[in-house]
Amino acid sequence: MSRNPGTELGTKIVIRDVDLVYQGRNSEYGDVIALKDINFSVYENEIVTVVGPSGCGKTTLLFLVAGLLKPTRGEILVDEEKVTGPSSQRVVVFQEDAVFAWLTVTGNLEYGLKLKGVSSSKRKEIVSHYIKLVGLEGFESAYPKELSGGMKKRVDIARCYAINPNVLLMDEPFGSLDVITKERMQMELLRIWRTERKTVCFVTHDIEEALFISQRIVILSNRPGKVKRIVKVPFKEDRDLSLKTSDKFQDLRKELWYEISEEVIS
Amino acid sequence: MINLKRFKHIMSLRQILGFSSIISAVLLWYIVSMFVSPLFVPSPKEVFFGSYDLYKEILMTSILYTFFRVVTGFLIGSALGILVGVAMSWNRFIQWILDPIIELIRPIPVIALIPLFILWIGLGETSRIIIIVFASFVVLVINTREAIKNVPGVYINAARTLGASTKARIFRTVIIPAITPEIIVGIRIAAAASFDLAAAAEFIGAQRGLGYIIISAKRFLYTNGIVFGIFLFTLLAWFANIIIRYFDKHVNIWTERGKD
Repeated sequence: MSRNPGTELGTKIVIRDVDLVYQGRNSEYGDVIALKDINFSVYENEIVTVVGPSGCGKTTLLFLVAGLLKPTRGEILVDEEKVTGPSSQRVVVFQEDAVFAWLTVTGNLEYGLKLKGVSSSKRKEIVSHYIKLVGLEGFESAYPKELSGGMKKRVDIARCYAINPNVLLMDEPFGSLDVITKERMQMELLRIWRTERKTVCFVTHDIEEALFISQRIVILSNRPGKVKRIVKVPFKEDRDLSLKTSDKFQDLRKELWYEISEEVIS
Repeated sequence: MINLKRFKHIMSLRQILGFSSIISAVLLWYIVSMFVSPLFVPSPKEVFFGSYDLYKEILMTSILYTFFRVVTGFLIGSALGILVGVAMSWNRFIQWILDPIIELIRPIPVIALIPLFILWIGLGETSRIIIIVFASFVVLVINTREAIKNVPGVYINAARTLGASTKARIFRTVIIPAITPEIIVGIRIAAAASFDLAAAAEFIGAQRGLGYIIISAKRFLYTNGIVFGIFLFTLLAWFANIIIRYFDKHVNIWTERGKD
């Protein structure tokens, strides 16, 4: 890469010389080097996906940006400030179901707002806006147990959007959904993203998903995870599902597939 | 409409069967009592009406004494248990210090402690209540610890990235609400244990209470009184369970339970 990370105008996240080693004091595997020499930047308002074989450290990388883990070496900057811990500026949509079961849909959306000290009338306004945005009208006072998996994921995403973070970190958020719901959620993510620009870091193992939603794709190698290649996705921002069947899309998908399967086999 | 009718029909059938099984049990009891000496199986009529006449003057105070002991001991013990359980998860030094002690005392059969407590504190009210405090405490402290361990880590991570920056906030907004259903299960177990221990403690040296009714009736080989005492104990425990259930329903509208 010719770009010097951090100096680029509109750079949002800089990941510089990051290693992460899991100290295996109690593990029979000893120390595990999860990530090695990670260097890349994420620009303002873009969606970057991180793909790679399973166990390559994708989630670890996302947790580092979130501040839930600390790098063994190197540093991560968001808006030129070093990440030292979690913050509501970098909110995470987790792979697992993280919607609080004891709160209603409204309660979940209000959670972060209450912690920020947003007034109750303002909260009401924000909550109803995002409930509408993710299409959950009528379920305001439902508890998560009454919702489907896809609906819960939408609650989670809306909850994250509601606190208006700088950066949205998504860890295989649609991994557990069926294909149809997954595609709808991808469309919805793009729609929400087009109306409320945010910098999005999205981890997935699904190449098609990565191509469909992102502007750039970071491919990680097998453990220890290193940046293997960064691919610029050549499609325009306004995408619909027909894109997935186009030749160009399929060619790129194949190319990336070879790239990643090389890693899985080796 | 048809479905609703069918539902109603099943419910009423269920109620009829449930009701008739109780009636048959009492009837069976009555029949057996006609052939067996009343020393072993007194008739239901004698138990309820005969004993009532005999005990009616001390009935209310006995119930209140037992209930007071159970409720006081159970409330103090449970509150302490929850508090210590949360404190142990809050701070690992507290955990490291208390863990071995709790592991040490948890297998002790609490009833076996009654004589020791009486020796230390005397035959008064305190020793009987302390026994119940102790039992409820052990149940709730272990229950609370387990419940906190079962809180999915993703909830805590989610709370942290959503702005819960202090431990106090994570406990207040995530851990406490998440463990409430399991705590109520513990409270139920502790309540049941409290009645057991109230009975046992009242057998030894109490001058009032349902346990005293039972043990003094036994002294005079008055079986009616024994069975009547058991019946009153059951009634009391049943009443306590209804109160806890009421709380359970209101606190736990969000859980998957409550479908049976």
